[in-house]
Amino acid sequence: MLHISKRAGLPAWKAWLIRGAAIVLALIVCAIVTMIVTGLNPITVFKTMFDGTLGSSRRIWVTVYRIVILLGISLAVTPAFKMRFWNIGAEGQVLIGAFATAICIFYAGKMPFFQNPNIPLAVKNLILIPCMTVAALAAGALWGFLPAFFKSRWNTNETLFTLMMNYVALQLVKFMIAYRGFKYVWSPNGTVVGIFNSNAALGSYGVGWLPEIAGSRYLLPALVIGILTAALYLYLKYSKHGYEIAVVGESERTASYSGIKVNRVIIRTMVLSGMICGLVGCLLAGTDRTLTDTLVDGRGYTAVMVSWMSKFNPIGMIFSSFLIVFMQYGAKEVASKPELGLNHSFADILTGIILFFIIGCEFFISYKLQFSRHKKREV
Amino acid sequence: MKRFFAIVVCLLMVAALVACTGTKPAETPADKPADGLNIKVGFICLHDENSTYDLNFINAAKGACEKLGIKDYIIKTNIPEGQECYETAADMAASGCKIIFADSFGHEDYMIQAAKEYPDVQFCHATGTKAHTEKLPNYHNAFAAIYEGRYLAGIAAGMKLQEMLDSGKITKDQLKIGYVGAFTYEEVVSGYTSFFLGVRSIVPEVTMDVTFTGSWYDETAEKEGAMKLINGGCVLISQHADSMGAPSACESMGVPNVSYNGSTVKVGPNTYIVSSRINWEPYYEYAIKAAAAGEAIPADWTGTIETGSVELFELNDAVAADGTQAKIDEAKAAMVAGTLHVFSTDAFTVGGEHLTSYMADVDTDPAYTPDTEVIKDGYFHESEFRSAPYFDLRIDGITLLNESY
Repeated sequence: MLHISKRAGLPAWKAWLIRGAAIVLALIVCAIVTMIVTGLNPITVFKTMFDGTLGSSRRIWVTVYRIVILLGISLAVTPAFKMRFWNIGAEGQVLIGAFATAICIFYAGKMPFFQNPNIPLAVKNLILIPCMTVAALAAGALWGFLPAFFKSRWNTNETLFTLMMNYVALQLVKFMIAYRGFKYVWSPNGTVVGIFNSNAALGSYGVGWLPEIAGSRYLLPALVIGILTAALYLYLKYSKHGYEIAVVGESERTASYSGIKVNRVIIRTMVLSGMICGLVGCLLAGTDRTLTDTLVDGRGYTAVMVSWMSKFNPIGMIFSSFLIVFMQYGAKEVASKPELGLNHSFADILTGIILFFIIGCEFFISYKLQFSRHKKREV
Repeated sequence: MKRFFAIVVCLLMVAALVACTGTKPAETPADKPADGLNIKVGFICLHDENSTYDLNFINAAKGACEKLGIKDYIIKTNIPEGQECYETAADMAASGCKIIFADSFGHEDYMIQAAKEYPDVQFCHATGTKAHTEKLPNYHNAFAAIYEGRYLAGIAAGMKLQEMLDSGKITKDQLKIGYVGAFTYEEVVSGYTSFFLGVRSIVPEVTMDVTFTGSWYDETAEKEGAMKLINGGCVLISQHADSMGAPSACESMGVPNVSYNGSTVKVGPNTYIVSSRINWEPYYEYAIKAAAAGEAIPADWTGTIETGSVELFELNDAVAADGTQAKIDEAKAAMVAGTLHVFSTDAFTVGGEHLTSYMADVDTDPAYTPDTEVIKDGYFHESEFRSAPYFDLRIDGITLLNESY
């Protein structure tokens, strides 16, 4: 009846056509579900989604910021995935990078030098921001190094290891911001740190905040991640390291026969992954000027999906990130309109439908479905 | 492949058809200003309707907007106490909201950040403490003298205890009540102390145990907390946390319960006595009207019984003792007349002493420096120097079972 076979290779335009069709289909199913369940006009719902993400210049900026952060994390996990190293620890690696950044910002704000109102803010930040960046890179690198080291030394399971490192990072952050013992140090408000160095009456005002470029605080992360995307693309495609990663990913045996030191590649690549995550963490904490346990907000896991959906192609990730951000935050906007009368769960349903189709369509790109007919059987 | 595309095209056509027919009835123009206020309002909530705390805000928001004839308003729920709050507030301001409310303590810094960015928009933050020190013209705090409501609820609890004593259900040495709190913040301390003082105004021998859960919404922890108190000999429970945990534990154990934020009579038909709450509607109405008229909103606004901000839900006559309503009305009248002060220094002692002076930490600073004399004219002036509570005394008669939160 039904015959499934692997496709030899689909022309790129056809693959994109299928993907496009999947999105259209997803939207149609969303529309039908919306109609049946809520009785609302689906066009209104989609218009609200569009308006919520791209409806004003501020929203476009915020959307760009969300895209680049998701893109950055997706970039970070990609080398590891290409190597078939199941790094699902991006959540923790980003958070620990943000944490390291926050430590720098917080304690700098307590130092006399940074509190001195006579020293211009630019000078202070010129000193502090490199320190923040280095700290974040180091913290992320450590979080990437540990699972890789254990993997290469004792062949521990990296999926579990990286996953558990997420919780270590999360609990560390929770401990520092909400534990009563630190209440007086970190959270004058009790459960939240608030905005770092935000007391305008003190000389430390604005210390450690990443600079606004052209009046927008979201431009700097966009630039950084933009450069990173290009760099990673080149690194994976043209460098010797990139080639080694690909070989290790295909077969560790082949790699070691051909003289590649597999363990070294694993550790090196994971440290790189961790460092990029750390950098994203630094951008997050420095741009949002705060540290919360929802700062990464599951994007470390979403990035896994983005990376896979794009087949580890950094340029493809730009589109996937855009799509996912658009869906998620568009759906949130839908949930917030009282006149629509929908809540968050409905928005999640819509996101779920759309992701189902997008991921499902990859099946049709990789495999061919054939409905065999009776005639054939007779032959 | 062909068939696949045929299906896609078919579905597309169907959807187009459906979409076209669906357009007509769904549109009702919302831009008709009616005769209501022409102002766009935003509300930011920490959780959604499932939390009694947020539900209380959401209902007030809808109520106020309906009363003022405002059609153009946004309620955003599940906004954590972090950068999300800033983004939401700034987004609301950028999309035309002229006044924006947030409901959770931890939203404060993020609201202030947005307020600095949008000086033409009013930002009102419930339960916050920084407005009077930040001195931004467009950033405001609000709270209510809820300790008065707690005190009244305490009277209902006291009447119940008296009834239990009189009927021989409990003896004098069993006079101990319990309280499930969230954190050891001033708001909670002020709440359980005023409740306790209300109870003690009826039964002077009573003592109270307090346990903390470390979360505003943790049904299991609240249930366990209540069970721990009941097993420890508490014969009546009240709580300051937002789930149904404590009320349902009380119902299963047959222990009377005094609730908060909303009536929990559905969960505890045989144990629920009464509930106090802050009604935010008066503040919302006041602030929205002021913003629409371009009038200044004070840095701190404290609702009272008179403004309608402090409310008691109807007594559950099946559980409450006879004569409770009369007692409550009497105390209420005395409060409004200014003859009854909840935190009168005669009513409580700290370490065996009646206080004559106390410096409270009213102005927020990282070191928690006490800065304001709050005992004057024989009572502790709660919610006067700023709207949010600052009563943090540990008075005699109350035992804290754990203080780790």
